Amino acid sequence: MTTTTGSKAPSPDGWGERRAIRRANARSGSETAVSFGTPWSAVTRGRVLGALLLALIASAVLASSAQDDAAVSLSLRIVPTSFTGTGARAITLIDPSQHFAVVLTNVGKSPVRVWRETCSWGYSNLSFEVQDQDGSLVTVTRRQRPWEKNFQDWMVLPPGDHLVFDVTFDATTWQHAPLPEPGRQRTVGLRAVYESADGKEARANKVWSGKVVSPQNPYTLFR
Amino acid sequence: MRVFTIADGPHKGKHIKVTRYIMAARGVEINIEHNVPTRPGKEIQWVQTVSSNHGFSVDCKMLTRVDPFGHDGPVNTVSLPAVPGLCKADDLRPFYWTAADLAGGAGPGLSDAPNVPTPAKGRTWTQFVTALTEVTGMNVHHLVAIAWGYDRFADGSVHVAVIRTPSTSEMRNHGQALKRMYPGYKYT
Repeated sequence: MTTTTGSKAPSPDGWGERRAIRRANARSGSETAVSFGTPWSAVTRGRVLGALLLALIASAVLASSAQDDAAVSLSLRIVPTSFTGTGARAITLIDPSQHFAVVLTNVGKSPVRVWRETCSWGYSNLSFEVQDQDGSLVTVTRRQRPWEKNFQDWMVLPPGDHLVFDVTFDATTWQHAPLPEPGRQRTVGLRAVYESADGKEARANKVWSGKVVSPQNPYTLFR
Repeated sequence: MRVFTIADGPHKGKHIKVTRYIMAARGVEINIEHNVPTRPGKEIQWVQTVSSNHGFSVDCKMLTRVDPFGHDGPVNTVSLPAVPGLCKADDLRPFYWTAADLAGGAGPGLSDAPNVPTPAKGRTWTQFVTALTEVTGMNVHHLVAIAWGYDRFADGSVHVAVIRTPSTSEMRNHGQALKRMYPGYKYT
């Protein structure tokens, strides 16, 4: 399971300014990334920059324990609709009612606020990276849509709990979805991305901001 | 910020106040507060209708709709018995905030940040009528209402409309949308 961190907006206990160290999933290589909390003052920026330097130095040493860092708070994974007899991951989307799941999990020790999909701040946060067998990469995103009722709507994700996204790859909602022609199948490398932008609304509501990605694995899509 | 006062009735002199009304990148943001107390056996609710020239008006076959009403959106989850078809609302009551919204901390004011994608050509106009109402059972009594909205142009720009008291025609369309979509309620 690949985990990464973002920033929690400033909170009274200063939790949001912590630095975060990410260790990418071993499946996708040995990349170790560092990301930072939302800067909200020059002093804090200075501290964060200092922390960045330390983190860069320390990352090589701490890589093995980075996922234990309390700052590593969210993880993401794709749950296929089934597995084949050989254990390969399958996503069956023959009927419009069918969907697969993407699960965002709070693997940290503190509750995390995340935007709901029902508002524009959370609607586009989930996307996918698709790698075709020829190596080409495509990003699958939700289409822009009109918002008539739209307010800053967030939920609390308690430690150990999950937010489940039902994904249909319906063409009215998703663009560039890797759906095969009806009656056919297609195998691609698929990775989910959950990215919540930093901004004044996120800071005001203490909503998590950052980026978390799932492992990239081969999935066979049936339609 | 602008204040709109209730003209008569038991809440005469109370008001709604627009505390935020600013242009955003793709639309407009509005916050409205009120100082109307809740009387025993009654509830204070916001009701909002929207008129526009973009897809939902065409797809839902309704120029004016009780907000929200559309399709393929995360809030478009509940089919209205009175308006079957592609478009759906977020619950079976005509009010802006659902019970779930209120349980989640929304209200007592109204907050909205409508926006639309850039049109391929011309302009997309969106106009709202927002009313504070006092609800007694199935009776929805309008206390005060405002009209507001914005235009989005093909070059991406946004023009915000002036906040004002709705015209008679706008209130008629507002009332007709409510009656058509939620006929079980009585509106005054």
